[in-house]
Amino acid sequence: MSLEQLAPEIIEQILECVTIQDIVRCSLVCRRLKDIIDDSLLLKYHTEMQSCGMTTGSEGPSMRSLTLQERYTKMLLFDATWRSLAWRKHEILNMQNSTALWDLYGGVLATGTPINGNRDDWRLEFRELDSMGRRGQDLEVSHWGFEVELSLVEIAMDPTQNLLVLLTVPESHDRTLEIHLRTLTLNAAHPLSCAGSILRYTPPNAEDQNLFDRRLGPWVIVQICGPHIGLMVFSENHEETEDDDGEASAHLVVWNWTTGQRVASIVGLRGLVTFSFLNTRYVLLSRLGNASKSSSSLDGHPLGSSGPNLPHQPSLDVYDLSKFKPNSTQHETSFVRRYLLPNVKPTARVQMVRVFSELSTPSNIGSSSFQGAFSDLKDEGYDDKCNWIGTGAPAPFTLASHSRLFVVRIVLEQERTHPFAGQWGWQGVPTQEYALLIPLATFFPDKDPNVDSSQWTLNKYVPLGAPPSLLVKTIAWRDWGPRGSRLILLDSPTDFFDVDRSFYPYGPRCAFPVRVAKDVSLFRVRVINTNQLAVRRFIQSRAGRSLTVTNGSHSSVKAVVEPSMIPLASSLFEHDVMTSLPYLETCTSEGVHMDCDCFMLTEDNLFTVKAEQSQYALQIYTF
Amino acid sequence: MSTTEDKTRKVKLVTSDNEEFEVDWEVATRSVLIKHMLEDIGESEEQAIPLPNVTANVLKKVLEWCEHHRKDPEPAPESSDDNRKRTLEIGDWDAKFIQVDQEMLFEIILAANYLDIKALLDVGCKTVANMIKGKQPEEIRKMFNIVNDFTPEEEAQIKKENEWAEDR
Repeated sequence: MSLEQLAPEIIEQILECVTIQDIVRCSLVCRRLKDIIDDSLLLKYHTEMQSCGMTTGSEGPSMRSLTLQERYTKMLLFDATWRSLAWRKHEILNMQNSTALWDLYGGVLATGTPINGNRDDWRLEFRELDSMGRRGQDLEVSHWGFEVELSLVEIAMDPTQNLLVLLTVPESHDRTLEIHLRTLTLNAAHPLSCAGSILRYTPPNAEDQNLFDRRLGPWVIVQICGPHIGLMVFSENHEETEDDDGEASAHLVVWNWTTGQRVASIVGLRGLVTFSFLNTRYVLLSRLGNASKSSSSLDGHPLGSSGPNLPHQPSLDVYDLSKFKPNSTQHETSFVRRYLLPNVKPTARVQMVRVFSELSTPSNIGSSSFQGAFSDLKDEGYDDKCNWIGTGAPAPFTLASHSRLFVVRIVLEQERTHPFAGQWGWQGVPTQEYALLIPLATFFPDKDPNVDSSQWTLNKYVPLGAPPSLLVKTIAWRDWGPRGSRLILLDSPTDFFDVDRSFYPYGPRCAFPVRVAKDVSLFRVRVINTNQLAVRRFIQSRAGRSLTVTNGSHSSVKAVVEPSMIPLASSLFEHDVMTSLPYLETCTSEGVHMDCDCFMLTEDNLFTVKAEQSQYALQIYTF
Repeated sequence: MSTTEDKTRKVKLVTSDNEEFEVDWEVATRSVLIKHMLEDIGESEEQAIPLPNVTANVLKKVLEWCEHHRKDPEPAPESSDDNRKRTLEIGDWDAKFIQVDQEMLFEIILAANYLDIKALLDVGCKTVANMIKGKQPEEIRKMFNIVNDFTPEEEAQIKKENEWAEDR
């Protein structure tokens, strides 16, 4: 009795648990195993799913009846649409009110409009985005809304957990920010949320009196990752006034929204910091570096206490939430890992380092407590049309949490030496804008994609040639960047101060608008896929032929495997910057009229955003 | 079928090598095959159930598993293959239980498949998957005593076709 004598169904079941690499190696063992693998639709589907960066979806009743063949067909179609960029539907959404709030997350678009121009009452509207290829055309798209009597400053949501987060500054306490935890479908207190369903934030610094000005609202970033909510609050730095360059100090607080416990609090984050969760355990912060400031102190904590020299250059810092004691406060220096970004010339200045990613981690969906919480709601007249949210969006397959891309937007500018330098609106300096693409796997090399990525932990980092006992927190750019990322020079923004471009990746992909001609709203769509399995499979399929394939006259796909160089001579970086992460690039051949500043992606949609005088115009292209 | 009766009821099983086992109804019906056979026979009969595909030493082992898992809730028919988490984790007791020689491991898998005991089949498959994981083809052949029946040309060809899936 041996492995190869087992029935094909049993061998399928065994191989369903291993990676594609293992399956391929098994097909090299003997003829019988190869035949079984080649004939198995289940393993074909499994392989296709992994190389598309997807995983088995949480299925609603409408999807359960799909056969394996139907799923496989949908998977091939999904892959093909992202390669051809042929959308089936195009819609324009005009936001009427300039003070409106909006959010796009997990296939749901939320918009908030103040009622009668009064910021104390809001009308919130939600719509599930269409997905013709993946979910099927027969699916009825949910659209719902409600009014809230709160003075909203920001909204956030996570449809996979039916969670709506409303940030408000109540009239009675000007210095407190309240975070209301509601259900996305009904605006009820979220059944899994902590007692009272409200988290409260008060800035630690008493000087930040204007922080929560009710007319302006605080400058905040909110992110949700499974049981965690991260809130970053920026305040003007009152200590140093000689350089009025708007350097803010930020405070990051992470709560467990189901228990109400404050998991982490990091204060004194200098220099336009942004953050994103790597998974439920780690937070990634982007920072400009200490270039413009000498090591100063804040609240008596010397910033340079962890090492002799805090780097001058920008970096991405990782903080381990499991190392924080509840309700304690940590300083900027408590990071567990610092990934240095390429240094800039002494005459240049880092204007912005901003990290973007999307993480719809359906971490709670399978759990019985989650299902239980919503079955209760259903008994109490839970809206049937929104039924899909409680059980997860019905889709045969969905984004795998391990297949994620982080996009870091880096803007550099020449140090201002002109007499008018520093004056608002001064445009006399050339700026350079880059997108640095970093897949999650760069932070977690050698992790098994079959293991839930929320369990992934950072490996110990030992520099080449150093003794293994050496504990190193800072990783030089050359040791991680060239192989683990790709730096892309973007079209120079035409009007820098007006355009705050954002990049919203989804899964392994992100999209960039490429302007065809100046002053014309004619763009080509450029979608980059960093899923390495997909890249290698594409190259293999070309078997020595050209790595560019055209899809008729509409678009073309190419694999970019050659390292790319940003040369010292023409850039503001201090050295030549070489990066080599392979990727697939799909680009439409013709320019498309799309008035936009940036692209956002969802699983099945391309979203364009145009901001003009605080007025947003959104367009949806559905695949 | 009243539950009080089920608990005290005994079931007789006869293996391919003619050995007879008497076990509790609750233990025997971990096997969907036996459960269905019992339903077909009806309760009154004291008939022994023949299991022509299972030998005594394998059934003994399988029943040991069933005995330990007698109180486990029945898997819902809806939560079929799709919602099963594809992890390689095996419970502590099961991990210890499945520490057997390869011959027995495959016998257990075959028996679990034949007797239709999904959870046990799962444990067996995951164990084999763990053995395969990260191994080169030659190591897999050696481990399972499989003869390479490819010609060197064929092998090279398959290798070439599948290069994309190999590690970075």
